[in-house]
Amino acid sequence: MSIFNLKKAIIPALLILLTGCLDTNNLEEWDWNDQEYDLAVPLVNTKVTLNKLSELVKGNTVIKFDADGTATVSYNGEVLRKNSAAIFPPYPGVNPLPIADTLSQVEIMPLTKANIRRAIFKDTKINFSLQSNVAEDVFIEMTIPELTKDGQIFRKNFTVKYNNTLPVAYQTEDISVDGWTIITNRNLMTFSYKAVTASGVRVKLDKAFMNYDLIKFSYLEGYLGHHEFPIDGNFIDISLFDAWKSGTFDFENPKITLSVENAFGLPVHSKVNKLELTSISGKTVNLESPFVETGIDFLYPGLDEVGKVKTTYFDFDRTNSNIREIFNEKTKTVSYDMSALVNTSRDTTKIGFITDQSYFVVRVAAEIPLLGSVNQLVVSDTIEITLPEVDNVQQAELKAIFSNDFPAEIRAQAVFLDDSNHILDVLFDGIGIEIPPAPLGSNNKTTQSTEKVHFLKFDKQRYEKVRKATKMVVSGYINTTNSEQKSSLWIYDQYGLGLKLGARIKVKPD
Amino acid sequence: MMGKWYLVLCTGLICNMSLKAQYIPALLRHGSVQNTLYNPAIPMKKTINLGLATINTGLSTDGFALNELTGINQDGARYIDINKIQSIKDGKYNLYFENDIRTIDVGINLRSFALIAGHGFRMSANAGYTTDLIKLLANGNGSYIGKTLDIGPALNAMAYNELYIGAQTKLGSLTLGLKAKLLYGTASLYSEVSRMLLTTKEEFYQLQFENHYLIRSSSLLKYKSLDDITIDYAGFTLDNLFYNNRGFAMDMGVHYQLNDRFSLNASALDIGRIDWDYAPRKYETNGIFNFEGVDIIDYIQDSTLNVRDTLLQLLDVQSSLEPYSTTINSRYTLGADYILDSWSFHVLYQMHRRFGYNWHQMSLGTVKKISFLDIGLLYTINKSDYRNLGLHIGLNLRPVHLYVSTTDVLHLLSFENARSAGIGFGLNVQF
Repeated sequence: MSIFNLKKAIIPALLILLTGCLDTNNLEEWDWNDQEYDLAVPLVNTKVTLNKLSELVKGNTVIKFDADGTATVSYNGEVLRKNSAAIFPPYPGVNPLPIADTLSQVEIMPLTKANIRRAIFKDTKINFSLQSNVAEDVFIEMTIPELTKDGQIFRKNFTVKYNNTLPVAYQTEDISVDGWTIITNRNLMTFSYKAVTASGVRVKLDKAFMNYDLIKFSYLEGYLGHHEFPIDGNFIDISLFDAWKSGTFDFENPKITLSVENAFGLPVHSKVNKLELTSISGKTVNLESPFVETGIDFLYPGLDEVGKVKTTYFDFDRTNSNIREIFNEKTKTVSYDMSALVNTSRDTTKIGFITDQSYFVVRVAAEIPLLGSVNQLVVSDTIEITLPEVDNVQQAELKAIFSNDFPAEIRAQAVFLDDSNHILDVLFDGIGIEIPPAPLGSNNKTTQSTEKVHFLKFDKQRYEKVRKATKMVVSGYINTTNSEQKSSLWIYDQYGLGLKLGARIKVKPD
Repeated sequence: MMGKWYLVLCTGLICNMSLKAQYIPALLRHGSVQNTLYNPAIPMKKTINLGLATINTGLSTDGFALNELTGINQDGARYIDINKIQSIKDGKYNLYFENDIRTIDVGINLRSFALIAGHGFRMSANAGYTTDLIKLLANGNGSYIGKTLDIGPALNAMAYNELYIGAQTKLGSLTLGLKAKLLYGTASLYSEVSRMLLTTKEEFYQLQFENHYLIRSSSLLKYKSLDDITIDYAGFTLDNLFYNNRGFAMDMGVHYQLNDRFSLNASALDIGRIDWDYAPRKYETNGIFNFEGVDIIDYIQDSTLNVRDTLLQLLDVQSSLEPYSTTINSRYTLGADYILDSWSFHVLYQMHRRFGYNWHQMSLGTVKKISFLDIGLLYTINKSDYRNLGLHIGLNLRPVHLYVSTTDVLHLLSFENARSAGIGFGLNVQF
């Protein structure tokens, strides 16, 4: 037997003999004993500042900040958007334009629609239908003096070939006039043609027409008519007061802002038929302002500002309306019925322009600069809950550290209810957790956070009771410093509420 | 979740404790080739000396016996017993495991000169743990709020093949012995730096880990993440005799025969190192990592946020390939033998340096020859164990000798109560 065979035979045998002598059964299974394990774990560490909150809010709600950090909540709605097709849609060529003589002026669209002074065609093709009654070939040179491109007037040559029968009809190919500029007066276009035979004799065509399917322009200048666009049927939902139960607000300067972005070179005027605010109690009040009566004129780019967008902001605020009074009645919705009027004066001497890229947008926003006071405000909401079963936990003690940067006393409470709305448990003792207001500095800005430490104990018995809850009513109380005197304070971007939550858990494993 | 980790840690610790037994010096095999394992200068009695299938295996701890920390619950499963650990002395403790499998050792004695040669496969492992870790596992961290616990375990393991050739020479009463060993490593796990401090802060129980770990491995450990660690035991085989992970070591010894009955000896064994160059992985993590709970804002922005993943990501482990060297576990001995007719008496002091820790041990032994039997007793004392009584039985069927030796015979069958336990057996042929 070689030494390596010996090794293979004897060594395993000896190892088996050795291990067989020893009882290792109670080493193979490891488990917990019937004893409590005391675990301490951090659960939550969060601070929700207005700055962070602004990144979270979605939809039409925006929290914005001025350079000094003061905050404004804005509920926006884009209520009207119109492009150039709404002002000047493509003009269809229903009937051919007759060229009655060798020099003819033709109205290419009625003056009641527009009075074009200058226009540049886009995506437009024309052709000519010609008929000769001469028994030989006829050579035609067609010119349109009002139509130029790169300094050259429109000029095209055609040949009507005699085919031994009279009259001879000839249809030209489509001719693109993209990029050609027409400079005209009262929408007139002049057609001038010279028709000669091979021997040089001038002749007049029996019939001649210009045809087109659609006329489109990339630029159009002149008097472009009167237009009215309704802006109605919508409202802006303001969720700020949804959970209100009692108490008062006093925001210093709530605003409803109309903003219009206008790239049309045409005057746009707003006409406010109705602008009303509805409170959470259902009371509806009309916004009253001289500007509701007179309407508002919006800026527009001049002839030397083609391509620019002019934006006009108009605020209905406490200086020009009753907005402050009615808004602080806890506005829930803002309803509006307005019109945007283009060329409202119908003055045909007013020359404007549009381009194929032109548009205008009307937005309505309810803006609440967070400057004001909140007096003993109570808000409440009910949440459906299903708490999980926890078998191993014998007892849990939550340690919550609340921090508050706001100049406001804040209280919170949560009540657990069953299906029949019977109270099963109350989360905090008494009126709830109370977090004092952060102290104010000389500039009415808070100087440091206040903190409140609270311990919450849950043993198995209490948790089992709470676990039967199907609803949790969460309520909060807010009272800004000196709110009794309606002392207005700004809310800043760095203000926030913090929660640090840890748990000591007594666990008895299965 | 916490419970799962808790058990994983327990199991990791216990995997090492379940390895069993203890190195038995061939102290009582006087005059055999096995005697040269602890001192290459010990003279062999016969001209031809063969040692076959010699196995020495052992488990020892400078800490506590298993039953001093754990109990058995109603279901028969083992658990860490809070009541037992309250009284343990704070500190850092080690579990050691060693297993030497010697396939063959040959000694040819030419009166004033002798040659020795052989092969062995040697494994050793060490698990270092702190009492803070045991207390944490037993109590949970809730009992240590505001305190910092030193919980970093250290794991070391090494396995290699050893081919040696050596010689003894007699200079009057003095015998000098020397062995040169070629080493071929098969697996290594080396905790070069191992320190982890856990602080549970008072404020709201934030967990702070201060980690300083540098772990190297060849053919054993693969780390991808904290929940994806692979330990490949394939390295613990007799393979890899002549390639990769090469090393060199020496044994040196001296033996002085004072008179016919009394001799003194001293040795330095396994002085050398292995250069690990086969898939030498280096894993390093340093720094302070905090877990302070979930930021609700983050959760709102990313609803897939997972606390478990967050915790796992706290450990930022850098991995790379880098060859490294480790010294092998060395041993220094001082001994004396007294032979009186059919009796022999032996004393041996050992200082064993294992994975950076020194282990001191004193053994006293006696063997009585009765007909074809050798009956021996071995008493061993070390830092943590004062009641270790071993037994030696030899069977002389000349020229074949079989033997089995054990330390701590009292706890051989209940090693859960032993702080060191070991068994060795072998066969030698002398003629």
